[in-house]
Amino acid sequence: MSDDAIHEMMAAFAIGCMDRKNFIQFKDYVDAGGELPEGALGELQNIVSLIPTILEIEKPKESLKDEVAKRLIGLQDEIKTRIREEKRKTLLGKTYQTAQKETGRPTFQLSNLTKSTIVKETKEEMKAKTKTKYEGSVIPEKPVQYMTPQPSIPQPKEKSAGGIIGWLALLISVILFSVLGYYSFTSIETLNKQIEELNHDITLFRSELSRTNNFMNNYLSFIEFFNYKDVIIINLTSVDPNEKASARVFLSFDVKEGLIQFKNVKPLQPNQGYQLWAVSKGVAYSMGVYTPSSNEYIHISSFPFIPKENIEMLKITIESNTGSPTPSVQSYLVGNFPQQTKVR
Amino acid sequence: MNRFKELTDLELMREIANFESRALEELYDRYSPLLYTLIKKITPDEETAEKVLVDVFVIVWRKTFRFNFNNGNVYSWLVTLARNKAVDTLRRSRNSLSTSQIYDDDYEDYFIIPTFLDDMDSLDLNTAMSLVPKVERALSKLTDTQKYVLHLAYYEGYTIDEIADKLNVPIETVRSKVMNALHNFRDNLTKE
Repeated sequence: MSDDAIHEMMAAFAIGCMDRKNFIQFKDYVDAGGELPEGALGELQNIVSLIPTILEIEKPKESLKDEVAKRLIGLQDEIKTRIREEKRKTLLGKTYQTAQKETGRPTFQLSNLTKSTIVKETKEEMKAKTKTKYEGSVIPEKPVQYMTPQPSIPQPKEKSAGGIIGWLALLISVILFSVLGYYSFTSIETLNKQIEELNHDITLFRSELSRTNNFMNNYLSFIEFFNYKDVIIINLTSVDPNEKASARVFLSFDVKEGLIQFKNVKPLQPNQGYQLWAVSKGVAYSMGVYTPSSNEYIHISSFPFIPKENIEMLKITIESNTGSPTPSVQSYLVGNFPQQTKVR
Repeated sequence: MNRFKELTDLELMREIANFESRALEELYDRYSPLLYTLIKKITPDEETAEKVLVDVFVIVWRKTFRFNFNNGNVYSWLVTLARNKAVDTLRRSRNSLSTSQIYDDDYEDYFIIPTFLDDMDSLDLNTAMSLVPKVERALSKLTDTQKYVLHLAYYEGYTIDEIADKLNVPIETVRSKVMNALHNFRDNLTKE
């Protein structure tokens, strides 16, 4: 991006008049630590914030302060939860100064909202919970009760006769349990195998479905894109005639959308990406950085804001995956912008 | 004696970050006249302006952790926050395409809360108000077109595309006009 373009972007961002797309693009660039002239954006933001100082200052109604206080009280639960979450992590051990009381005009003072009171409250709640826990517990308050002799229940006397029958019954039971155990074991094993096979099938179907979905999504965006009017197709080929790498760019200036498809491009390092540029009057404007996984159609993330008549060519360079403000290396793929679209 | 009156803007923000409601009250006392005046200038009516002002202080209370304590620029953060909130309300009232999204926490964090870098100079209310005569002179030296473009962008909440439509000029022209207006304003202010 040229110096002028960066300064125009910064000015528009500072005064807050960027349209949605450019705002997102620029904010993401700034948030990602994108390169900007040092201190320039902050300086403009400060300058802009001085504009309202020259207005004739008007005080808001006193009742508005009450309104703010009411809204804050309404937020007590949310804030309490946040403080508690924060406190529970590093819980107890630290003490906080108790809040100083003040009286007079309408205030924002919210009962039980300072950290000290919240912490105290948390401790008390924990105490209460602990107490409740023991109150509801099965452990008796007087363990001595367990020591009290319980009334005895008369037990049936053992019969001395019938020993053989007893042994026989025991033997039959053992055999029955063994048979039942073996049957259960083999059944479970068979069932487990079947479940395993089913799981395998499900995994296969899922991956098949996912592949189909990907294929559909990829081509749907491509098919949908061709519903737009004035679609321009630009073929980019490698500057090295021995390399088969290529890319195709589809642009619709009516709806300001585009697609790009890469073919036979060389694999990238983990921190690299293919950056697409629109070249106008010798200046390259970034159209986004892309890291294709195969031949899929990728939406153009930054549509060029320059009129199509002024675009001479598109080119692709290999840059870092966060993008570069200007092309830092020689072009990898290039393609001329179709001549018939230019105004002569 | 209210100890919060003695605190700087930045110290107040630190107290607010600890959910000290009286620090927010002090911040309200200091900033509400300026912020209300700005919001009232942007929003369509007084009732909306009052609602937006309340919303702004609720955002400050809930989202102090989003304030950049590294640059500590309380003044610009509050003014920009109030301006963004007011413009968002205005754009929604006129069904602008730029605000068709649902207003939720994520939206607020991304579009309403200012994005300030660490290398930004700090500014507080007292310093800003001491610059008023210089700001007046610096702004008065701009051309009428530059003043109008700044007015449309800052107070009327129009985007570059909308200004281009309104003035029937190319988008590129508006972009450079905005940049030149701000650069001239900055240069005039530096010379003062």
